[in-house]
Amino acid sequence: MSRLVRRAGVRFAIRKPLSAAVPILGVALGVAVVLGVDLAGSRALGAMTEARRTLSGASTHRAQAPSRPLTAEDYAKVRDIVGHANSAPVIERAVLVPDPRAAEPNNPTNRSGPANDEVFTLLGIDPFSEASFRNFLEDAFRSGPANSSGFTDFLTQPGAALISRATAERLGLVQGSRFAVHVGGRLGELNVSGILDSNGGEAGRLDSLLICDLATAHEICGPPYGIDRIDLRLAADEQSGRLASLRAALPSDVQIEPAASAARSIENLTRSFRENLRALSLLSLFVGAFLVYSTLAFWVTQRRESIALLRLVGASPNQVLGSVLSQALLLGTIGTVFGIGLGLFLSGGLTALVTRTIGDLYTAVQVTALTTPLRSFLTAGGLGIGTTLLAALGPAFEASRLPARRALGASFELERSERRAGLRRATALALLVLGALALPFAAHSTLFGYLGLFGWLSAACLASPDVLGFALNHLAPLARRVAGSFGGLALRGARSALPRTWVATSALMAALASTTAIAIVIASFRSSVATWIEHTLIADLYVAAPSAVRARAEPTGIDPEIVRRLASLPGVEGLHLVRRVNSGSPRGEIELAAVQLPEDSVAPYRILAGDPDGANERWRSGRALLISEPLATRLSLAPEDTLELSTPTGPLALPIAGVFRDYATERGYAVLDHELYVGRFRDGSVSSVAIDLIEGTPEAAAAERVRDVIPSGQLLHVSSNRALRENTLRVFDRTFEITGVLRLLTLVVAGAGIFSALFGLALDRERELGVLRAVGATPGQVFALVVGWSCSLGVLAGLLALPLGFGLAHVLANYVNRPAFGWSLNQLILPPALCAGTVGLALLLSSSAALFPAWRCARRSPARALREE
Amino acid sequence: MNAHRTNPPVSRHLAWSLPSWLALTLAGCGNGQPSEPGAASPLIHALRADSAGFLPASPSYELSFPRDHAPHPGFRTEWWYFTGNLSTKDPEAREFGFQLTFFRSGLVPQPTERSSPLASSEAWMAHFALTDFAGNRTHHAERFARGAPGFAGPLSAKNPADLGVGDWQIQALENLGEEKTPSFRLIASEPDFSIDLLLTSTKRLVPQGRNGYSRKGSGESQASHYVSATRMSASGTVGLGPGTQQVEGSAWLDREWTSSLLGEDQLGWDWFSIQLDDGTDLMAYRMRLADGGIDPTAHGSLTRADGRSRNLSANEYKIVDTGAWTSPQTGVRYPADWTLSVPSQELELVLEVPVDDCEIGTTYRYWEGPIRVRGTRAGEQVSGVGYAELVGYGGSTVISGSTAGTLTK
Repeated sequence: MSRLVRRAGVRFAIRKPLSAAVPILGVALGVAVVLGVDLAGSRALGAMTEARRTLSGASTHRAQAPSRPLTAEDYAKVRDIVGHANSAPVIERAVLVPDPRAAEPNNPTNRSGPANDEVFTLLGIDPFSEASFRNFLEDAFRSGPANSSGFTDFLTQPGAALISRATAERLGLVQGSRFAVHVGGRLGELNVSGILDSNGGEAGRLDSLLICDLATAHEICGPPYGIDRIDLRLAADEQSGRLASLRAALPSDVQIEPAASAARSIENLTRSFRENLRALSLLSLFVGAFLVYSTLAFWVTQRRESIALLRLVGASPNQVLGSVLSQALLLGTIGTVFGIGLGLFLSGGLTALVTRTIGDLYTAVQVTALTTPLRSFLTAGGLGIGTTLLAALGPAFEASRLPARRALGASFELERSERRAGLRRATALALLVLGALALPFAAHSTLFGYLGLFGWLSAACLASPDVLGFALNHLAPLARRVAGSFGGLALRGARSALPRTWVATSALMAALASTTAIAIVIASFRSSVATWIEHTLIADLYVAAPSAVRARAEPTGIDPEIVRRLASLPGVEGLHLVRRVNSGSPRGEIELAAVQLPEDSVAPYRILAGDPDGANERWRSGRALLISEPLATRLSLAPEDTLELSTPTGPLALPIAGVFRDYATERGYAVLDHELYVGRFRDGSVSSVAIDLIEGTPEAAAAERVRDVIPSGQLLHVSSNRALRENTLRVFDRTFEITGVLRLLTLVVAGAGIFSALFGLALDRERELGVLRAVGATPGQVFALVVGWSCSLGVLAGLLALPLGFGLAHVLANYVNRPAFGWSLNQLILPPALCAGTVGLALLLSSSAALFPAWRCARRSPARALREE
Repeated sequence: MNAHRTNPPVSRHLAWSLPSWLALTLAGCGNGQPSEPGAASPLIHALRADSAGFLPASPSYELSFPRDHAPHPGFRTEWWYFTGNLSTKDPEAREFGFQLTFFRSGLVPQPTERSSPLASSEAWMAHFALTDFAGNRTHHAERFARGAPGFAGPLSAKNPADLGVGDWQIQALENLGEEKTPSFRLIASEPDFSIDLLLTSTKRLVPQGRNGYSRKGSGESQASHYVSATRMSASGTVGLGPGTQQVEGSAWLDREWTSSLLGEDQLGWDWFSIQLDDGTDLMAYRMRLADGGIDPTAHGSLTRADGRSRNLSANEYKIVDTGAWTSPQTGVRYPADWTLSVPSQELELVLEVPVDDCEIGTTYRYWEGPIRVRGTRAGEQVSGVGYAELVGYGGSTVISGSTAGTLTK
């Protein structure tokens, strides 16, 4: 008997290959998206961690002063305490390598934008101190007469640098090639004195690095000629003693931290970004699971007759259950295999997008080795097969319990559905409540935010048959009046098919709602950023070094001489000076913006908390700080709290006058008066200058005069107010490109779901449609009827997705993004185009999904359909 | 002599050719571990830059002090080599030997003008060793550093003869002129051993070879400029374990600078400095050749109590091994105990090693330690102390290529 059961399944699959292909496609798409996103995220994070580990080498601790370079005396003290072999001075800076394919670097037209510059980490080392820490030099000069003077050149030749083989190939460089780099506006040149082959399993660890001698790093980065940090290697048993001696000997602003905390900070920095990515991939899986469930349920329904026959000839319920589950397993496995292939294909493009965004925002990262960790495969494979089995469990169980005679009857679907409605509604209510309970905890962990999000989404899906049924019942008479009897028939048909189609319809709704929610958040975010730019960019011209990494303050500043000359240019009314640096504090490292505004200029900070008028006046007079919203969120700071900054002249404690809206960095920063900064931090240099022009001064001519002031060795971008706004929004849009790709993938999965459900519906209704044909309906009318069923469901799904999407956007903005990034949005906006687009997309998906089934039904001979009846 | 070729540590032969130790440091072997020949040898191969462009040693070079106490940037390499025998002043008279050596290596003959204060065109290496007679062992440490303020080299532009490699220092104190008797302060400290010594010469500097021009091979430029302070009284402190102890004794300085790298047929050398209790100081070495012979250009010197000195040519003295010691750490077999005879001076000496374990297991493995001397001079009993350096044991190989070679101290 079991052989018969098995063969029946196989026969079914052969007779109706499409019915097996649809669940396979569903599983494959779901698995592909999850695997693709997982691989992209893990590769990018892996490359960052690997690069960090390479940079730290074997060090256990590091000594650095946040707001100044360490001096040779600091280094000598450290070295004499911990020993030569256990200390290594390091300079580490983010630098830009201009796209070598672009025109020559001195071409002034190239100064207007960052183009495709690549971000690298310039690592300046002392070869004599490196033996215990890193082995770059051994790698580079391992062998070969070609490198005969490699060591000597590395140490003695200006610009000598080591690069990885992958970097060399990507940039088209060979031994001896020269290439431009710039950091903080200084234009420099390096030459390839050695090429590093990553030895062994650490491929890619060197690909974001340019390694040079300390002196070369000095010459590339410019004065002050200090040391960025000292790597230390302290044995576990002597750590506490050595640390105590170091702290006693060094100035108070020198911090000594475990090396691992640097790796943690880079992980923290990108955590929000990676969490969002993961949530997006889970969203795809969520929609994919719906798809798998709906296709398998349909598949089981299609097999209803053959299952009933099997039961009649004596197959036991368990044999039927086993048969259905094993076939589902087979489908799931095939789908997973296809999905893994597709996921690998997708991961290439996704990795490039993720890497570029991380490079834009956080740190230099190069993923050249497309690693595919086994864990990712196991996760994706487990999700694919597991979801299939889970989705098949319900339908399979029902099939096995099917009373043989009843199963042949037509009204079975509806009865079953009604029996389950109570349970379904109760679950929906429970999920709604659960979601509402999770949200208040979102401030502690974004996990709760996502829990609320998915809880509400699931609740909405489970409630959708009732809403859809209600709507279709009430719309049917309307449709009859508008489109005649076939209009009414279409809606009633859709209504009666709901037990079969609601899962696919709600999957479509979920996909549309979640992608709409993401679109709403991004649109609202973009509008908030645009308003903020409007508020913040108040000067006419901006002069700044092209920043390698937005999230990090660069020590190299603009030459004060340039600033002096800018101030005296004709047409210049006043200068805004900004110095961005990092400072230590008891609450961890804090970024500072030391700002000086022209006398009568209004402060460009929109105060969210604190007295709006008093706050700006207080920081400008050097009596207080302003902090940005993300900093306030991150450190739970409020106006009138005191923040203590460590400065080279001792601690500086200032009250917080206010919190201002800011989207510049996720970690946030504090604003203080530039004059106060210069006095306490002993640093007169400036990171960027904004220029107010006298009314009526032609901007282009003024910009040209400003460019003339900049010496040829400096690379400073001079941007107009408008260009800077556009560029900021361009980076914003680039950041969300990956989100767009994931939205698209989710919609593809949802489209496949609705297609499979409609296809099944049409096949199921073939006999009914045959009767219609027999009583005189034309093929065109049948075609329109099937498309009508589909479109009515699709449009309803689209319409329902709008309020649901808006609700989800609210959850995303306030319970996910705000705790994760620390910034609030002005208000949520629902662009009309987005509404129209969502409904239009639903209509497009549902109508195109119906075309093939409708065509099939329409051309079917009524006689044959009736014979089967 | 070539019995131990099975696992040749290539570095041996190049021991004092500074670019090779630079290679080893950069190769990651400078962390106090003996070199791994496999990892280092290609680097040595890669680093055989020639000495073109550096100043050659010349017979017409006029020694001038204090100038010649300070570094000679035009020359490829040079060293300040202090050794000595010490004992505590208490009745126990605990005995020590010490070595403190700075090496400077010019990397390029004409350094490029650069703006970074850390830009460097030279590399420094320093060795510090303390032999503890009572403990029957030698403590040693090694440092490498770039020549740059705060790292290594002259401590200030004003006194270029005051040198540091990290916090190890050689300070030139006074009497640095031509005919004077120089004084130095040596400071070196490691976690478990340290010295702080004042050294005062009791004799004038002794130019070795012809007026300080010391031939090392057949070519005229195969030579170095070489002067010694053959007898300095030493006093100060030695730290070993907790606390320090007052010590006194005698010390020797070899000061040498050159640009040449020696012949490829030389395996290593045995070098001796001896201070006899009748006031005589003796320097003698033999250069061992690959063919088992002794290089005829080797030489020595004999300095009388009144400071007058004369050269000894290779055929005027004879060194014979009378014992051997095998290092338990490395398995390398070194000669230990010798007889040294200088017939023209009626000098017959027995040189004994009081502490066998003086193998210096730094990037370069060699043996350097105190010796005790007894014998006769013209029939009269004499005794004394000294230092021996044994280089190139444990499987030296001859490195092909004309520029690689060996330098004696």
